[in-house]
Amino acid sequence: MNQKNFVTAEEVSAEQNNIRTLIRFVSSLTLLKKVFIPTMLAILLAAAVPPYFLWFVGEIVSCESGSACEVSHTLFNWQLNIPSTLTTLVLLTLLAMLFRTLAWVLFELSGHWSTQNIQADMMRSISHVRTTFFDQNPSGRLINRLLGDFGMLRLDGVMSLGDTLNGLAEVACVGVLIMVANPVAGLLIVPVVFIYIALQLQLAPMMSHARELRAVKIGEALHRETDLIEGRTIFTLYNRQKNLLERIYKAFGDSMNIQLFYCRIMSWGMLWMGIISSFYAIVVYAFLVYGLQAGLITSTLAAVVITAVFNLNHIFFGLAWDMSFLGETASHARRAFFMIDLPDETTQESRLHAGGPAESKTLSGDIEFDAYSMSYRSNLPCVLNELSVRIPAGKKVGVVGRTGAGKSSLMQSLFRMVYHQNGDIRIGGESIFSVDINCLRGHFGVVPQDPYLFAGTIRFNLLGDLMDVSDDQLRAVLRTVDLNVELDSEVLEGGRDYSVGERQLLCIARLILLDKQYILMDEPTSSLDRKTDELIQRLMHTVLHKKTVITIAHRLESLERYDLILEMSQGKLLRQGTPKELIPTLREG
Amino acid sequence: MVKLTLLANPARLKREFLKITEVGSQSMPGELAGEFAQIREESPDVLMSGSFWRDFVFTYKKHLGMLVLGKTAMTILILAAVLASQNLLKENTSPTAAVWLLVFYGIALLARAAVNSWSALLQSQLLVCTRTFVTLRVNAKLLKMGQMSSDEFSSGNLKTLISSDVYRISDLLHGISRNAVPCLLALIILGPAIVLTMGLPGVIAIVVGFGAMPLAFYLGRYVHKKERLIKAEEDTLSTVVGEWVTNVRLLRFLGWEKLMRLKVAGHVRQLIVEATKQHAVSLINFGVSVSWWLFPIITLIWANQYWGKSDDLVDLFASIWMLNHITLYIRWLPNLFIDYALAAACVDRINKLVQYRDITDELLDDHCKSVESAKPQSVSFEHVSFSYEGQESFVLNDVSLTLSLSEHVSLIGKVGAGKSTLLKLLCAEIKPTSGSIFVEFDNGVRANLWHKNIYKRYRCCVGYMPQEAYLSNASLAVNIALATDEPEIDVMQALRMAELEADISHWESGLYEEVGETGVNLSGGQKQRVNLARALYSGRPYLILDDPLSAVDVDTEETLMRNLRTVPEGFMLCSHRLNELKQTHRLLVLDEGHIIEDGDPGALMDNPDSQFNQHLNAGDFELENGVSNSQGEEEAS
Repeated sequence: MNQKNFVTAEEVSAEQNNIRTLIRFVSSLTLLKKVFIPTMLAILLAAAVPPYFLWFVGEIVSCESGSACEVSHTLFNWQLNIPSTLTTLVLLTLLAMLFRTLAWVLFELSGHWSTQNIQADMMRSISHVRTTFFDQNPSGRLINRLLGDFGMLRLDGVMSLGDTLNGLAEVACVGVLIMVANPVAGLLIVPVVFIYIALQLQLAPMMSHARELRAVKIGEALHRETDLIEGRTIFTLYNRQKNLLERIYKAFGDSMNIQLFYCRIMSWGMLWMGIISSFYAIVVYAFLVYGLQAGLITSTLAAVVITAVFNLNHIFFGLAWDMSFLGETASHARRAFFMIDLPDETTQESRLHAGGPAESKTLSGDIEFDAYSMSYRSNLPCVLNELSVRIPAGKKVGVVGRTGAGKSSLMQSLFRMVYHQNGDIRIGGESIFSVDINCLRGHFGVVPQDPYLFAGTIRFNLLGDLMDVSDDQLRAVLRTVDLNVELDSEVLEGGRDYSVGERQLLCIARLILLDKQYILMDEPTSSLDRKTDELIQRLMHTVLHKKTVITIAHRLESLERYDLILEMSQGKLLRQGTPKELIPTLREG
Repeated sequence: MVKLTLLANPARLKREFLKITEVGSQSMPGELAGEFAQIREESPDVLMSGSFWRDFVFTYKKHLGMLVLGKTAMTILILAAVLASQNLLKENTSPTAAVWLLVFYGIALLARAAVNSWSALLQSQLLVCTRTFVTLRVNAKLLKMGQMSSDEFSSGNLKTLISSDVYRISDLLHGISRNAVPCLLALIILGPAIVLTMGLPGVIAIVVGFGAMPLAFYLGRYVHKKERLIKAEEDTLSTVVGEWVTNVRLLRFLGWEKLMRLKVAGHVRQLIVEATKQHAVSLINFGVSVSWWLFPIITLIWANQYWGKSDDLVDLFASIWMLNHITLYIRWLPNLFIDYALAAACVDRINKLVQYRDITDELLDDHCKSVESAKPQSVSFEHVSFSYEGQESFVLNDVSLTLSLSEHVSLIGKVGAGKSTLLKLLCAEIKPTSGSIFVEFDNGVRANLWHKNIYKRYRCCVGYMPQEAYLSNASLAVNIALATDEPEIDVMQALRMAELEADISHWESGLYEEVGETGVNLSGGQKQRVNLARALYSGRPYLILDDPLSAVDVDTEETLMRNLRTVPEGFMLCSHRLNELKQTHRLLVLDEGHIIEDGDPGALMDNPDSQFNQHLNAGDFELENGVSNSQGEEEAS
């Protein structure tokens, strides 16, 4: 269901203006914009040199042997005399190579370099979007958006733009060469290019639609292949090979069918483009025949033009090929911009408050939930329902209740990661919704149930974005929590080389370092080893004794030294009291 | 359905096509259709000689032949266009002749456009052929194979083989048909024509046409080498971003988004730097090779001045046109070497897979006596030992044991004692390294299990529930029946016996609810019960159950054990729970590959000196007392 939501959100804009998306894409390539003029110049020269070379070949060949020939051009009153020798041709070839390389390097490398910004923008947007967005979209899909689409834009996207520009320039230059023989024939290339583009505009969306359909079918086929690869022992044991094979080949056949259709569209497009470019070649020929017969052009010039016309077919096809990827580029860019344009979380977090700039304040005092109701998304039922409770500053408070009672929602509510339906939360009398969200979050320290350590070093996981902390300080804090690890010892992804207890202690060490006023702790469900458990209890009454600690507790033993216990049920406070009052009744229940 | 006729209006075509999600069935190349028809048989008998290329060419010889024919026709049409143009430029061409030449040229050009589109169709169909060819063969092979211990054929590798490696092969084929074949044909057809008109200078010019290849080859190798580095960089990046998107809440709790953003940006920067280097080199490479076609022209003119056979301007230009056609393809040839290297690795893997020993290779010939309708009654292990491939130590060591297939037997042992191996041997998933397993049937036949006919018959009578069974990304019903279109009433019956009825009553689509990839939508206990339902649905008289109820709560366990005691005739159960062990007729205690105790569960448990109790007291068995694991289930529902 969630996947569908995501896809529909994308599909809505699928038929939208590709050109606008492409323009936005180009305008976000900052480095490319800086070198725009030299790049365009290089593209033009790279396209112009080969036709000029061909024209020059004509000059050389028609030059009477033995006599010194020269070609002269007049540019803005400036006479340019070029000896028509083979050396000039070699120089022209080297120039062609130079300009061709330069045109590509300038365009593609600067574009490639600039795509970093697009990725950074996506990441920036992701760090401000509502957390529920991540529940709705599978992580694989998100990674694909953040990296896959970026990867496509980075190379193929920039390349498709560059190659299209280069192709257009080449076609134009060949047109100019033909104009030398006959202006009308040369100019006719303009409508031909337009017909090409018009045809491409119809074909490209079809191709990308076919590719999308194919991707869906290939996905299905892959699921069935997985059945065979991973589950074949079970299918063969129960003699279900036949049905499995049938399903595999049904899915596979479907995907192949679309592929075959895709092939047909492609060859259909090639046929018509071939016909168009052939007709153009025939028209140019007709002009040449007329020119030759009427004695208007030399046969050398005709031969030069014919050479260009022979090449024209390939240039046209290259152009069509490059343009067919523009649609693809647009759809990758559209997806990237979809990510970039995701709304900020504060604009959608509450039924009562509109998002907007808020000031930074230092909060202190009791935390008070006042008839507070929340749900995870605006259209879902409330998880916390008119909760009213006061958590006194500096006290150690334990929260108990069954699964689904709303214990962890409490934590997320304080971080404003949920949808606020009603009521208010105040800290020291100040509504948390009137404070800047980053500033608010900065007040809390969290010890998650199953702390995740990021791949890197202990130092990285301890320091995070902290600056100016000496190694001695870090070691001291590690000693406080009784962890005997090297700062630079490596941490595997998730911290799976450390026990849950060690990981929790590392989190606490970090909180001590940061000196957070409010500490939210989620106990692990499975029991910690006794030593770690005792250590955590001791830390609470020594290093952390001035802090407000809210613990989501799973074991009653750890609650005995707390100041207050809250029992929650169905999003409401069921009862509260001191451990002495509550623990005996909780034991019975 | 979209009709793609020759004269279709592209705008309407697009409108119609964008609306549909299914295209009607397309006409396939004949050989492909043949392969498909053949493969639908139960035992697909596809050509697998172990040599990929030979098989491929043999299978698609007609298709490949037509492709070469198409390319040949195109080259000949080029020659025709060249000849027409050549004559057009001759000084003495009369106006009528010129018009006829124009018509001839036009026809050649249009014919070329048609042939070009036709061969492009054949060429793009090569992808379909390759994918089909590989998929059919890999699937046929896989079906014959049991579990594979080789890392080379891990499921990840096999999936990559089918889903992405196969494109490497088709890339190579595409490259060959798009560039190598036309280049070769152009050399064969146009080459002599050039030499005929120009003589020696023609030869020199053609050779110079290949001049950029060494450089391109050299630079291509660099690009290819960098590729691996970039891939590694991309992998790191995707790990970091993966960490991010799966820990969003934690990151917000910590306030580390900015830090992570910097981390990602750092990796992106590194990736971009490496990719820029790589791309720069390949751009220089292309810049040179794309402009190289000018050199042969210069060479031709230059050589013609010295050794020229023909002084005619028209001949010179005709040669230039043909030369251009050859050099057009040369520039892409160096890529083929890289494509080949990539494809070869994949082809190698396919060849290896096809030659891999499969279970049918392990089987002995048919036993002389028929057991077609007989029912197995007991299984005897005689000095059975087993070690995994490439490992010296035995997991099971000299086990001798007779099991009646109507008994309820339980098995216990510490982790690594060889319990699962024993169960796999019992259901003939794996073959003993030494020793034999005999099966006795009710018609008096007693024979080695690994005779083909015995194996087949025996396997039809046992059901096996592995510890972590595979769940297919399909509906619940398909996961239980392992097939589509099975009678709903039977599936419901199995479901009921596995105590799943209450679970599905909450589900929107009930029996047809999707379980998700590897059953992500199910809790641990539900997964186990689905697997149990699968074994029960099969109706097999004897069930082999590997720790079937470890994630099920106590009450459900009670009912399920009751069902197990009544439904199949016999079972062998491996478990860690005392109350399950108690309910069986016979308890086997396994330790370090040996059966150290065999007897009545009640008696063994009561006897304080029994091996069972000694190991139990030593804490070897990790017995669970049946704590309900309902929390996990609650969360999932």
